[in-house]
Amino acid sequence: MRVELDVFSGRPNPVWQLDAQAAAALVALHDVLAAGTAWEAPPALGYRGFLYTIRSDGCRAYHGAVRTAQTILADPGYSIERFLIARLPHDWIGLVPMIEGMLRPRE
Amino acid sequence: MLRIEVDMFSGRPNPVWMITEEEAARKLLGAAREMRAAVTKTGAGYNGLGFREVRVENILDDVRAPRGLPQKFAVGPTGKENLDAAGELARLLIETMPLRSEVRLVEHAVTPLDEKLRETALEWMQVTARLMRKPPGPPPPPPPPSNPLITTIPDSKCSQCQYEVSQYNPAFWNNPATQPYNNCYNYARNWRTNTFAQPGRAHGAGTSIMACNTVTAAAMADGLKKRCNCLPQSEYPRRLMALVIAPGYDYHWYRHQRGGFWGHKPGSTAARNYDSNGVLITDPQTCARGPYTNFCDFFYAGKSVVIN
Repeated sequence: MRVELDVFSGRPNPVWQLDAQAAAALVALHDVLAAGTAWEAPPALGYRGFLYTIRSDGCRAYHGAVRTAQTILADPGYSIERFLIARLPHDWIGLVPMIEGMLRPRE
Repeated sequence: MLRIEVDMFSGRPNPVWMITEEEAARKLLGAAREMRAAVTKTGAGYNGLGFREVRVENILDDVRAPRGLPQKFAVGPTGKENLDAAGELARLLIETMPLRSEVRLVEHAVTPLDEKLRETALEWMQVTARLMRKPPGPPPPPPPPSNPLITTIPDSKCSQCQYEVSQYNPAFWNNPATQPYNNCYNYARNWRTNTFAQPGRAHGAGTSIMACNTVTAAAMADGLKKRCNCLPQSEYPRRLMALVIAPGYDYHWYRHQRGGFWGHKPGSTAARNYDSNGVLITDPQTCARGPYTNFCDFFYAGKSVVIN
């Protein structure tokens, strides 16, 4: 499964592949999310979420929610984002502090 | 009787005198007839600042001009062809300037005749001759084509420089065929390459070190110039860009737009003119920029800047 960290403006975003086991784990996490209503638009600059595709549905996980073309899913525990942060390729480990700094609880 | 005027001044009256002696007048007119190439209509030659021509006029109605000469004519260079002849005849005429005129003319109140004036006239004549001998410089660049979407403005930071601002046009960028493949550098340079352009890459000078100095060097390899290094009009259209850095992570560019605000395109997201707080960007140095905390500099990008 292809995952993109939407974070950069000038450089190409980090993109990597999840192996089958990690992909299945991500689908499992995604499938248990309940429907939500709150969606905070990402900022222009900086961390804008993780992009992945499940069953041909493009998803953006950002700030405790997942938005697809049809719906918004609530992820108050940031399970998707934390799962993907933990699987960032080594070259991009340096981005983790910046992303985690933006995973603040909703007010 | 001849009236001689050296057309050389811009503000004060030109030196003027009369040649009253018939023999002297006849000699001068004879010389003019001999050097016909030096004789022109008044105002036909060089018309810039400094020495332009010597005007000769017969002011009597009962004296005929020599055959082939009009009653009033000028002696001065009209081009390289008659420079030598005009110079020689003009010198002859100027040397007749009396150091103290017997005939008082109104012009003498402001422009009295003296040796210094005569020498000045001869010197200025040489200057004009040298000017006309110089090969013509390159033609001035043609004026930029008229484009209602582009306005040329003086730079508020360095008024001797000018650049162009465009009508804000996000629809050009925010469509599926363009938005994913063009980034902030494409937008700020205003060049849709569909390659997610990187500073310096078009010239083998890209960088992976995300700092002001490295990205600046890469962009300048593409042809960007630091602000206030004025670009000539031949570089039209000239953009004003601003560079900021998320230290160690990334860079970002803005472009000044018509209307006094700035536009930008964060990565593959939509082009916009507001900052991370949703506020119209009027100054990229102070707008909300998230992790792009370092403001580097402003740059001009003319039409010769190539990116990829």
